Amino acid sequence: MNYTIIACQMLCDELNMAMYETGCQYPVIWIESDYHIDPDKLRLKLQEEIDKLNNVDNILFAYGCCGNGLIGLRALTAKLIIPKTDDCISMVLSQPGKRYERHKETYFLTRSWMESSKSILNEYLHALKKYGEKRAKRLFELMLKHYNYLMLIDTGAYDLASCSPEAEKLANNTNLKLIVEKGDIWFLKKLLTGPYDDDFCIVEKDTAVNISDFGYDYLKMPQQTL
Amino acid sequence: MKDFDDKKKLLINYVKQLDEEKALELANQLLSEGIDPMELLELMNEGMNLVGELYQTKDYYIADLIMAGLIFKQVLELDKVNTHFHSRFNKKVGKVLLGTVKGDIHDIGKDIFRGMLEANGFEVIDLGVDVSKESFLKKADEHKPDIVGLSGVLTNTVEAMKEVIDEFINAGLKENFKFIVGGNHLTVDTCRYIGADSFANDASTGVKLCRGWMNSTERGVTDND
Repeated sequence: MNYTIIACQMLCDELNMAMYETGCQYPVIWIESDYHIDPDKLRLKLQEEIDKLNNVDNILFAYGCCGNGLIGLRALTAKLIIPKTDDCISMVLSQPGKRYERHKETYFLTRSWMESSKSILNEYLHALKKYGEKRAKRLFELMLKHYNYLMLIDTGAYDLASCSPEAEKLANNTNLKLIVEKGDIWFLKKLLTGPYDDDFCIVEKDTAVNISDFGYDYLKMPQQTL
Repeated sequence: MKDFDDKKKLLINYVKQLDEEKALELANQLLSEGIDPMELLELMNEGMNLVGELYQTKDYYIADLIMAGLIFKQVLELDKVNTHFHSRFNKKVGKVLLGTVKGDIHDIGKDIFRGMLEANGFEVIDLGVDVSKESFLKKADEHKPDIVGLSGVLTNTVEAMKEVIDEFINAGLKENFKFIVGGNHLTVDTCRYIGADSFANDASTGVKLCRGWMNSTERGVTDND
């Protein structure tokens, strides 16, 4: 059986560590993390990458439902295996067999999140440069008015100390309380090794990913066409 | 006349460039030179759409969207615009109950939608963020809106939106209102699953839908008179 992984750059550290720990050496196609902003564009990009693949039996996705960006994907000759989770935040903060409850009033960070071009850190630097300190502060007060916490997720896949100073600075500038929470890469490891049980959407070849595959108690609905 | 047309183009450009001071100054100037406030808002909308496009192409950031919203809001609050819309839409074209559903606190899109609805003569009751299904039902019963708008960004808000509409179905009140759901993640299929009448991925589409409903023969302005 031939496997290929299609992965979001947002999970770069975590997937690399999972591959290292499991000894998995499947080829990885990395997709720029900015696509998460627009689920329609993400869907088109992922389909484009799927269509390029030959001689692959199983395509593993280091993605969640991601704003329904994976709904409608289809591979003519391969099976699609996708973690049954909302997004990368729930993927690294959930625990096996337990229902994940999203923390309220919280903005989440990992090293990859901070490094992405549209991270909150880059948002802040952009606003500071373009509008000056006073206006940047006003914009961020509006942007984050319902947030109280900035959570740095310690997934164990990167050096926390290398991000902490920037995260602290960001928390100070945006009046958020910095908290650190332990995350995990169990979901990504299981994606690499299986077993492909109820934690995953298993989509047979020439079948489109359906919203009901993600198991939010969704009813089976007509397939979405790309 | 050419000068006036040039100024209109310049206003669109100032909004696109997010130049708060110049946009407000020029909007004031155009009003004093006699521009119809509705036309002024159309120019503002045109500029806002360009900002949206630049966000889509990744040239702009979320902070820029917020700045565009701030400029838009300040133009709405200019005396001449405010007075015009209060008299023109003294009798509101419709009432919308709006909120971000339970479990989500994103409100940038909702706030832009609210501003555009108000500019189009709607009365908006904004319940804020993280609004429970019970609150939507209670407030709908209290305010008797024509339309209920459910907003959300997170993937799992699809479930929360469905729960709100189910709450109305269980109370036997679903047919009393039109339901619009808004968010980047919504599709024809998710909308059908939620049970909403329609969906919008951006604020201006949402406003068009609401206007269409209010103008439709089966559900006209007279419904809530």
